[in-house]
Amino acid sequence: MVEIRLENLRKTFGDVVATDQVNMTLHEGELSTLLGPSGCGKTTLLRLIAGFYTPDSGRIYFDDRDVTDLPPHKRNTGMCFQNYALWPHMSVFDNVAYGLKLKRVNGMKYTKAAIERRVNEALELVRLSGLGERHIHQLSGGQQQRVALARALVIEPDVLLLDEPLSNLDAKLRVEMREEIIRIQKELSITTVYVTHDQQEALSISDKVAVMDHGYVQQFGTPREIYHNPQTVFVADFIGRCTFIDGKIKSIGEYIQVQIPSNQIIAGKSTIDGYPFEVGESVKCAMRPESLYLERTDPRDNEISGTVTRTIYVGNATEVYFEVGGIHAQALLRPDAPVKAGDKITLYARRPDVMVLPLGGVEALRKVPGHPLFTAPAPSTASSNV
Amino acid sequence: MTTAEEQPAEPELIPARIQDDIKYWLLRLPRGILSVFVRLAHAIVNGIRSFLAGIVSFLRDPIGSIRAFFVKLRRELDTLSTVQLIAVLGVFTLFLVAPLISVVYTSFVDPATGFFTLDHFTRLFGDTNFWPWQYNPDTGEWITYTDTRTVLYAGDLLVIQGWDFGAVLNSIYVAIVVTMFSIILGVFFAFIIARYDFFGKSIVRTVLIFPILATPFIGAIGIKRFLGARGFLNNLFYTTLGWLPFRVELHGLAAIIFIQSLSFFSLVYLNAYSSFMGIDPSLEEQAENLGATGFKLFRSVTLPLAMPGIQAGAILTFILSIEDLGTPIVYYDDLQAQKTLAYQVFSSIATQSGSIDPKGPAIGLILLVFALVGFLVIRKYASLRSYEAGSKGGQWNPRTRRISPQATTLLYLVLIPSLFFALIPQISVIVLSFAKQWSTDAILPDAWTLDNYSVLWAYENVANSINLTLIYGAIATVVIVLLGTSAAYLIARRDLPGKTALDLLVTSPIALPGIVIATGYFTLFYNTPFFPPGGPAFLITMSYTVRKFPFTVRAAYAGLLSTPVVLEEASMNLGASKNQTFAKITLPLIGVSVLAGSLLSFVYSVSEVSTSLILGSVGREQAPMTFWTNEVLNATGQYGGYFNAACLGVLMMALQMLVITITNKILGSRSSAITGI
Repeated sequence: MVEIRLENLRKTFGDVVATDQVNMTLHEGELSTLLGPSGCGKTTLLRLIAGFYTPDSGRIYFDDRDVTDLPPHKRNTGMCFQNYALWPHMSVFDNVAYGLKLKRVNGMKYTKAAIERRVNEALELVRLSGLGERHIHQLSGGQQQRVALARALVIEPDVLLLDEPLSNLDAKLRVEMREEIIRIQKELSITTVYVTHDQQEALSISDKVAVMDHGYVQQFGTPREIYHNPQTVFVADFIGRCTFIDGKIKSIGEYIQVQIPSNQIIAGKSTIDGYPFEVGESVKCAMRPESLYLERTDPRDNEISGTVTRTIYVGNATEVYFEVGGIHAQALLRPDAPVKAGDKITLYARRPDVMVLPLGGVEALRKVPGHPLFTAPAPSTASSNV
Repeated sequence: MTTAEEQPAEPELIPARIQDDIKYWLLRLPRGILSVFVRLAHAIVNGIRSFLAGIVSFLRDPIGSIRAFFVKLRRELDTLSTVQLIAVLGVFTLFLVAPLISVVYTSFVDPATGFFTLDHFTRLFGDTNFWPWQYNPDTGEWITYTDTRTVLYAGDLLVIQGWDFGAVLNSIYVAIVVTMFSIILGVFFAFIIARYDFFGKSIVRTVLIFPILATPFIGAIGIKRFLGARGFLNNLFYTTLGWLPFRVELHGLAAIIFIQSLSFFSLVYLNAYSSFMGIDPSLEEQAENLGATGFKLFRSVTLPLAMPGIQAGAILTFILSIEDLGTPIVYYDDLQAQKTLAYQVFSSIATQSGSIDPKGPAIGLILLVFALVGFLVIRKYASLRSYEAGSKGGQWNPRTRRISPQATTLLYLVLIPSLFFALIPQISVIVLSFAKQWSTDAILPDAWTLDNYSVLWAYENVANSINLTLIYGAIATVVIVLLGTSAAYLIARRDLPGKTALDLLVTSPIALPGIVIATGYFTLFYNTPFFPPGGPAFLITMSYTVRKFPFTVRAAYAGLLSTPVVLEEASMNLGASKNQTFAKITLPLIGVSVLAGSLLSFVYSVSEVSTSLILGSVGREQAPMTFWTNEVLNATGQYGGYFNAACLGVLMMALQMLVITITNKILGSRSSAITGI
């Protein structure tokens, strides 16, 4: 198992910057997700790790090995492509055995018996025992996905790379395969990079999530950190739902007081450790729908008043859409909340639940000294001992 | 793996030695070759089986089947499509199926008595030109007339010729060898162009289209003189440089192999290229990810995935080689070149009188069997092609790799000689057309002139034949467009019963030897209003129509497939009838494809050789340009000989180049339309 370190990676295609300023450490045995909308550079980053692209600048390390200039076949990564890339002219067995037949360990190759045993083990691992002689086109989508996984795993790769592996499956199968991938990943405890655009998927399977946009990593952290402490407006917006209210900082104390256009004051906290907010700075206050309540729990709670435009009953809750001084806001209330369209309502938000975010996107984080997104990661001592 | 720590009972690893790989390879080679043939046989057997199954299911309930057929037909057909269907079937029945049946009939019937006989075939195989192993009943011995000398040496001249096993085996082995050379050349170029980016690639790509320009007929005119005993290469390397100890000349079957390979490899190239480009890049990336590189990657993933395209191109090459009449006819002064099936058919029927020897149809039948089998196999492989496009929409990163300047230099060291060889037919024809005089030891002609071209207008017969050719081609093209669009529309959009058979019928001419069709015209139509003595004009036009039909059909069909049906359904939903929809929506949408296809049909009509030569021989006044090219080549006097014939070849090539450039622009990468499969 290896730790992957990415140092200041940059890759352009002509004039298009596909990815830039990538600094990350993907710890050994962890499943890290690259999450973002299409075109954000997540697949480019994955292909840089796999070696299909060479970065314009920056380095890639597997533990202490600099692999930046190694061709794909010397990196010992197992990759699953979005479309599975199963070879239609080979049987399931031959597809899986392919990598083993080519693999050399200290100049030695695997015996026929060893290959057979390992392939069967791999097929067992993905629960496809006995289907080795099938042709690819005789398999269902889920089975094809499993073959692709077995083929990547059988060579005992240092790193498992998954490029939107579930995007071609239907909803039910997707959840099933998701569990399957987590099970196998934990069982083998293999360093895994997983690309997806589905935030639910990312939050539910990952040890770490890297949210990407326009080629930049916006935030890299645990799913909990990403959701509760978004570092940029984009992350807050992309992960889960949020109501944003613009304002200017009035004072900074235990909580940050923000004056919003309606001259009300909203108090919230910064989600960024060490970010130097200044009085008078334009910021955005972000609130999750589920952190707005009908009842006040603390006299210092923020008050937000508006006119309800629409309510949607979704079974376990009521979604309430309302307007606050021209801003569209949303709240998630209990199912029996007595609210209907046209009502004037006042909702309360606890001060720790209001997130004050700087403008300027990910670049603003440069103001934080030594921010990990802009600092080449140091090799962790643990990995160099391995 | 979970059990990685456990110690397996037996050693899992053994030394990887290169000699083991080689041994493994050599041991597998025969099996690989065998499996190709087994699969061919399977394809043929399956085709026959499904045909028989159709007949059986018909026989089980003949009345029900016929009724179901007509019910379905009535539902699908309206006035316009009925007319379309009848017109297509009428033309093909009359000018393709009937003549072929007539060939089969003639070859089994004694002209004197009208009874069934195998006499024509026994006579054929009693002829040493055909079958070299003859039994002499007087002595009770087998006598062998084969000639396996390949290198003859006389004075300072080294002649290379082919083995001679009689016409039947000659044609087969020549076709096999030509196919092999074409595969090697075609796949080599296709792979380089599809996978590497290098300086000047677009030029190389354009140049590689040229070989498809000249028919082997025109190429042979150039090569025979250019590479002859006192041609360019010999005068350069023997006379001038003295690098060779003797003059080298290709004769007979060796020359045919050489010329056909250089002409036909582009068919394999085009098909292989589009196959390589059609491979989902992630399939190769996955192999790289698992440790495959270089030749291993090519052999285990790239090549197998491109195989359907390569095989289709190869089979087409095989068929075209076996039916090629142009090359043997240019080399007819060499006895060996006459011993091919195509030439034998030609010589037995191409007479001014129009009377034919019944052994002509018999040879034609043998040719027809080879071609039909090949055609059915093509169809099998062409339909297999769907699996390469089986991508589920991964990220599309072109797999072209930029190579370093050093590698580019190295590549050009290989490319330039091979490209030069590939272009020898074109280069030589062009050089000859401008030659005024060429003394025996000069590398290139001593004096240049434009006067040769006056043959095009000053020699009345030739000038006339050029006009006639254009008229024949134009009429044929108009008919092809009308019927071809109809046929494509019926196949793609109407659920006709038996439409696969219709599809088979209208694309089959690509593989049916022109000489056999021409033979059928003689046996069926000679001395009828269609074919009065000395007046082959009508049948020449019809033969172009039928033979060049597939190009337009395939192009129109491709256009229809890429036009969503919903566009037509929307029109019908708004109240347009099927016919109005066809005229107002479908036709405008596929117009460009049809145009491209019809241009190809036109240009291939104009350069058609085999039917033109055979039908032209009975009515020289009405004979087309290719016939007169051959006449000029063999004539003496003011307008005769290589230089004048080459001018006609250049005219043909210019015409083809113009059309193919236009079509390429229109059709883009859908190059398979050019080969018509």
